[in-house]
Amino acid sequence: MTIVILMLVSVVSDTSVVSSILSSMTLGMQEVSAAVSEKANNKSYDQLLEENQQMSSELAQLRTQLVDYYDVKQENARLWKYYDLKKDYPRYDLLPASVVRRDPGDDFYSFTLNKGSLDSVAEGDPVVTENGLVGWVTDVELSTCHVKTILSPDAKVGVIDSVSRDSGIVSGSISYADQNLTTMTKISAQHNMKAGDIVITTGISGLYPASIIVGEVTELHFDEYDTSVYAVIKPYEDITTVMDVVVITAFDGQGEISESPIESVTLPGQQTTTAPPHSTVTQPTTGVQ
Amino acid sequence: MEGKLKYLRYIAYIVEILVLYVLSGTPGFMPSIMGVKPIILLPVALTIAVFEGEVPAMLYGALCGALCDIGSGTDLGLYTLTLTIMCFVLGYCASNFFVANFLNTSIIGVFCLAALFALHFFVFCVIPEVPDLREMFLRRYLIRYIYTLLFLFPLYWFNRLFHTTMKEG
Repeated sequence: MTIVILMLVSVVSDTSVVSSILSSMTLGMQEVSAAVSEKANNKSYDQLLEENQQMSSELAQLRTQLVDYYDVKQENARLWKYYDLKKDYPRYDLLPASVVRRDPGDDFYSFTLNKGSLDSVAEGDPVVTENGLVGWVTDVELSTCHVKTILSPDAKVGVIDSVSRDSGIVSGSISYADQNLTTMTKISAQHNMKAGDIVITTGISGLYPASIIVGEVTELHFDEYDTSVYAVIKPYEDITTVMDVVVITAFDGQGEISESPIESVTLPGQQTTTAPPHSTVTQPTTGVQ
Repeated sequence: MEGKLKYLRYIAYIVEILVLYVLSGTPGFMPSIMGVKPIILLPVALTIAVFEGEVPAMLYGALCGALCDIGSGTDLGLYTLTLTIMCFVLGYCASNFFVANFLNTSIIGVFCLAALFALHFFVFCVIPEVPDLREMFLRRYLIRYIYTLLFLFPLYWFNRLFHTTMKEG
């Protein structure tokens, strides 16, 4: 009788009452069954321990690979910089080097490189980065060399303003070295220099190649003692923290006094050898390196 | 046993000097104050000298001085010369005239470091007539002197620890 009533209700209400009841009845059993099955699939403590050890080992391996990846990435970036430099200065013998030590007793951020006389580094070799001149080698050992920077007052680099063609000498100063700035002195009183001009090496003395970028003029001042003009130069490279550099071990005209006019010096990549129309009379270049 | 401990201590001093030399020159390791970093090997040599006799003191002074000179790429060897003599005198005085305690070492350290920096300033700045002498003195030498002096105190205790733990008898 009950079954008949249920069937009637089922037909009338268009709902499978039977299946609902059966589902309700089996639900509990399914839950129990699923729980038992899940428990059956659970790993033992030993298995988990083994798996954990295996994963730890894999993780350590991946970490090592990650370190290798970063090393390779860093090396790749370094070599790209070197490649760019080589493109800019195809006629120079370039030797990439890394800073291994910074002298804590030096006030002008001199440093030691991991290349020495065994790598053909010689005293006086210019040191550059892709952003410009950094300094020069002052002392060479077998596998290391010491570099003084252009922030030092010992620096005497002959330079020319690439826009106004005014020449001068770049030499560091205690007042500016901390801010990664150097100064350009011996500027003509009738100069046309202005902030933003790029200063490059003249290469006249044969100690530095011509056309190496030194930095950008940020300010012009009068010296309080002799009222001469000097320019504050901001190197494009942060010399106080630089880690990767390139030593120029040989270049055209090294050690020879250049006889070409100072006006012929141009920015790297520029083909023109004529001075811009607004250039002025340049200073005598005697003594300029 | 006595000899072994003594030599072990001597080796420990050499290791300490080399480790501090490497760390002090490691780019980015030592924080700078107003662009100035300390010369740690100076107080190292002085604090070793007060605990050891004049001859070991002199040798460690020479080693520290030579490393300072090599690190700065100078040929003169001013630190080698001055630290060798100073440590010899200090070692002799510490053995015969005063007790190597914290107060005495601090007072001596203050004067010895001042003398070393003053001599360095005179030789490398005054004689070559470096421009901006006053600024050089105030912004560099004075700050470096104070910064270096700060290391004298921990280094005293550190080397005292070496001396007491590896002392014969």
